[in-house]
Amino acid sequence: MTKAWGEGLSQAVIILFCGWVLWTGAEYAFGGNLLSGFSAGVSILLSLAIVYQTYRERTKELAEKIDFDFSYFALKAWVMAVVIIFYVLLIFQLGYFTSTAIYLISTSYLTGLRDLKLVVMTTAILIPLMYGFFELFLQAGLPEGILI
Amino acid sequence: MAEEPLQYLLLALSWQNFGVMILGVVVGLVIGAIPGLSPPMAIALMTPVSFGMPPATALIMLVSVFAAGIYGGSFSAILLRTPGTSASAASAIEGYEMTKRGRAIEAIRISTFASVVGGLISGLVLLYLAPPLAEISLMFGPSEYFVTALLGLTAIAAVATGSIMKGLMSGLLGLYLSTVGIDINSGIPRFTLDIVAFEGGIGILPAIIGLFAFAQGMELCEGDPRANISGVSKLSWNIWPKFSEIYQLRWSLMRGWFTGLVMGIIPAAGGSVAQWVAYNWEVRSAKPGDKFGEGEPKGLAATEGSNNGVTGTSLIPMFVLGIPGGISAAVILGALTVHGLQPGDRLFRNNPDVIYTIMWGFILANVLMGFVAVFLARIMAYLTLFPKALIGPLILIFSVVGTYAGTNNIAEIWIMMGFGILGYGMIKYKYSPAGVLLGIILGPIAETGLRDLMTVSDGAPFSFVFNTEDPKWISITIIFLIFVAMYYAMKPKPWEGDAKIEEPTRIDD
Repeated sequence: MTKAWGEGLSQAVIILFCGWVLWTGAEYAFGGNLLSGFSAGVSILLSLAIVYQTYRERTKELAEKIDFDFSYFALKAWVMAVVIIFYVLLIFQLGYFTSTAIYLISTSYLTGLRDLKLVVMTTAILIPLMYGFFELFLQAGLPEGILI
Repeated sequence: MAEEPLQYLLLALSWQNFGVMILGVVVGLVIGAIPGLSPPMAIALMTPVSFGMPPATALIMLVSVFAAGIYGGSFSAILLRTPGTSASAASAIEGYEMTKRGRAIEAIRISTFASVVGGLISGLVLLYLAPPLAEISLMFGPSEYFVTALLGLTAIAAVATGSIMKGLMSGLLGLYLSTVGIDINSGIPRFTLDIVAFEGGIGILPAIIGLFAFAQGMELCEGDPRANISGVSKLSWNIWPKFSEIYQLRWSLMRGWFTGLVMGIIPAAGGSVAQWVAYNWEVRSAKPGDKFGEGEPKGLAATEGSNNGVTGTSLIPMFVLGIPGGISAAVILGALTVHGLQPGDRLFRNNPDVIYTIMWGFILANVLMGFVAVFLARIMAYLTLFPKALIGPLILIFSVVGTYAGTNNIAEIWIMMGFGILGYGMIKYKYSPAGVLLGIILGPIAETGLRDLMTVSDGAPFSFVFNTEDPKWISITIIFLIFVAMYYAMKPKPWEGDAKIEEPTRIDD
């Protein structure tokens, strides 16, 4: 698939989403759909303009094929996003200290960082510092669990 | 007129305000100095920290982060040729060349003086220019605010992405997201997908943290885990300015400061644009013997003067009309809203103690920044050695903990993460996270304006465009055209010299 087709496809998804906004908003009374309708309507026009511009320009870059890279290296940011979901779930079960330590050590492994001394030092310094800052200084409650 | 701001100076000097000012400056310097981390992200991370503080104290901390963050970015630009912020990209050209020639400390000294004094002047201009300009907002009714809201998000989104259409679409997405939740006019839940957490609407705090901190944290997790920048460890750190150096550079400094002050007032221009305009001006003013591109201090003085000269004046359109002068100002606008303050004339009339204290806080933070930098200079240089693979997960943790500490609601963490993933995708596909945030902030104003407009115009909203009897519309049109013309006139061209600079991130300013 070329980059031009990719752009066209993403604009089609945006237009579909805007269509859903217009469709859903139609039932809102007292002008409740005005701003959402305005946003969706103008977005559809802009999407069509982008599609037109993409095919009119026909640059070399747009004619290139999309390089679908599913290697771990390319997907690392997404892996980290998934891992942080587990962190959020864990923090309310195990507590702030334990889950943050587990998270930092495991993510350093996942990102490929092998400097264990640096990771342990950062964990040892930053976790209590953040706890002290939020819990003691700002008196904002941090998540608690069965462990600390 | 001159006396009114002065009476609030003492408020800014309270121990509480002074304490958060130091905290803000330290955080700004540290985060600004680390390549890849930006002032908007620092402000976003500090927003939940500001919860529980009085609004003036909270905003003083955030504007201190902003001022110091821009200055901190110059450290890595000068020492390592890797700008800590996009506003320091031009400084890397002459700054790094000076470092290569063994003049690193001289470059840091020039940068410190230009930044501190530039920020100071900019703050004073903010203090004395914003209040009279705020009276302009008295001319505005809901309909005018609707158009102003659109203008604001068009301007900032266009500059942030380089594509006006994608920038505008980002802003429109923000406007749409601002309508999610129970409609106060009808009591009907809108676009909530039957999820209870959405009924109260999309919170600004999770949007700020998600779009600017979480997204950047994800981005930092990419790439080579050992990626850091090495090289600076043995330097002497006397960064007090020398009179002889400053005297030689006086005209370059003045040109830089002037450029920054003017560019700051133009919505969305920001330090990223100002530095290139200032550098270009400096190159054109070159005299025989000046060696631009080979470590010319004049070029560094101009760029450093301009990027901090922007900081104060970029807050003027934000405080006056709610149109931020840059991306950092957009995030500060979000924080302003979170603390229950609305920009415009009412802010100056109803909360003069708050607004003037914030402005004095900004001015004092710029002075403090110079002193703190003297003590932190060596640490800031070492911070540039910290691996990105560790900073990324730390930012993700801080985003989660900060959101929870600010809201005590787990649902807000999921919303924040949703915004983070949205922001990351937007960066990758050249859309503007800043546009989304601004759309969410300006959405309620735009919606009220649009509803009133439809009522007043009897369902024919375009009639107002041709209403030549109302001078307000002519003024707004002229202002808009000036903005557009200035944007295209001053839009930075890609640098084609020998020193090619790669900007570390686009969520910057």
